This record gives sequence, structure tokens and C-alpha cells, in this order.
Amino acid sequence: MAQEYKLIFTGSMGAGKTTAIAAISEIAPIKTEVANTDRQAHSKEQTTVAMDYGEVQLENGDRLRLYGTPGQERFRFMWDILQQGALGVIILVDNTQSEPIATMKHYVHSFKKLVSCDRAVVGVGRMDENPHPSLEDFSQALEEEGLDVPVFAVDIRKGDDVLLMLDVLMNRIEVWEMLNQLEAQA
Amino acid sequence: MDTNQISDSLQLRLEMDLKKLLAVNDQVRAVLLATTDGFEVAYCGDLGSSTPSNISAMTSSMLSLAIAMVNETGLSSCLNLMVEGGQGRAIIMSVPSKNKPMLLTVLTREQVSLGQLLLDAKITVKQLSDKLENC
Repeated sequence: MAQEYKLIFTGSMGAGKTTAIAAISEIAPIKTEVANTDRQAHSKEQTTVAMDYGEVQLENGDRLRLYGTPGQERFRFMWDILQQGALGVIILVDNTQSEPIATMKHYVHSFKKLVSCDRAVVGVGRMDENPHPSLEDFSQALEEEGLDVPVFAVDIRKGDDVLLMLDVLMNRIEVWEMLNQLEAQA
Repeated sequence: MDTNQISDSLQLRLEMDLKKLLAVNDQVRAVLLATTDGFEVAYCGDLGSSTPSNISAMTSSMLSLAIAMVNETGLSSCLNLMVEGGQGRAIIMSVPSKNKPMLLTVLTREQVSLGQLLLDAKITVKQLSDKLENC
């Protein structure tokens, strides 16, 4: 019987969460964008204030329900609401923004419950415009936190890039659950 | 929020409208004005244990979700959103303006008359809207 899974896209304002969901959703994505009045934080015209929503069906018939969080800290209550019942999280980072590693760590800590049990991947965008820090730098920062999280260079406008992250995330979740079951049986 | 967008004099005039609503209806506990993306602009009254910044952000999220639902279900447009709690109501209303659209949140006590509340709140929305339109 086909299953449904809830996954979260998170990251800072302008990291591309809305774009990533729109790039792969098989339904018209639901958006909650309004005019951005905080041009000091980011120059973009619109910002998400509640969530994005999209859906993807896998080859085996399972359905992924994709939720994007608002990026700004003042909407943190939505992060807590949205991660209830979530199976995994995709953390998006824009490498042209200031302190991208610190930003990644902030979201890693905010979604610690999912990250700490192998239910996370990190996607770093716009590395062509700013190659530093490198993917190795991101991975090393995660290792220093005692975390094993795959890090990808992505163009979130490209559906294939986003789907690759989803594929890896789903595989890791599957392995984690199998190992958990084996442990429970032992 | 870029605070330069609202002058001190406009801020004061907006606050006056909020205070008027608080004065005219004794069941209104607090009134708050926020930008559509969840920044506090002005408030008066008792917000309980919360803060104006928290309520501003929540107001923004809630009304945007209501608008998304209205769009999804073909209900045309979202005029307001009401939350009924055990000890009062919260009403969130759009304050239309071409340049500075905002959100009005009214928190009430338990015995509020819904009809009177909606009437009073709509008058306040009109006053706020006129000021924001002409600023």
C-alpha cells in the first residue's frame, strides 16, 4: 500500500526553499508569500510567512508531501509546527550570503531531532558565484558537531538537483529505519 | 522591517486609531497593527504573556494561510480571520493600501458582541487604510 511521507525544506531567507519545491512539485505549489518590507535582510520582492507546500509521487507509488518553512527567525514557531510528524529535512544554504556555515549550523540545531538520526541533507546553492566555503568546509563543520550529513552543491532551480537530494535523503531514512528495526529485534 | 518606511507622525496617527478602538469597545483587550510580512508597527492594550513581535509574526502566518485556503477553495477573497478561544476572540483583518498594506489584530474578552466587534474593527480598518493610502 502506498505511503505518504512529510519532508521539510528549511534554510535562511532567500536560500531557495520556495523555488526548490516549485521545481519538483507535481501539483501547483501552495505559497504564502507576501511583500518583503525588510530589504536590509534581503533584497527579494516577496517572502514566505507561513509555509510552502508541494507534492511528489515516487515510482513505487509513495507520495512525498513537501513543506517549506519561512526563513526568518521571527517565524520560528512555524518551524516547530511544520517539523511535527516530519520524516526528514533538507537544509538549503546560499553560499553568497554572509557566514553560510554558521547559517547552516543554526538550522542544523533548530532541526536537531531530525538531523541527529540521519534524516537530513544539506544543499549549498550558488557555489558557482562563490566557491568558498567549499563543500569540504561544510562537511568538516558538520563532523565537528559529531554529525554525518551529506552535503551537495545544488542549483535549486533544477528539478534534477532537488530530486537527487530527496533520493539520498529517502535512502538514508530507509537505512536508518532498517537498522533500528534490526536493533529492536536483537 | 525598514522603519524608515513609516514616519513618526504617521506612526502616532496610526496608534491613535488603535487607541480609539480600545476605548470605544470595552470588550477589546488589545489591538495590534503589523506589516503583512509580520513586523510590528503599533499596538496598545494587554497582549497577555505574548509580545507584539510574536503576535505580529503569527498574524502574518495565519492570514496568509487563510488566504491560501480561500484561493484553493475558490472563495474569492479573504476579508478576515477569527479565532475563538475559551476566554475571548482574536480577529485578524487586512488593512488595504496600495503602498503599505497591513494587518490589524484585535484581541477581545469573553463577553464580546461579535457584531459590534466587527463593526468597530471595520471602522478602524477604514481609518487606518485611509491614513496609509494618503501617507
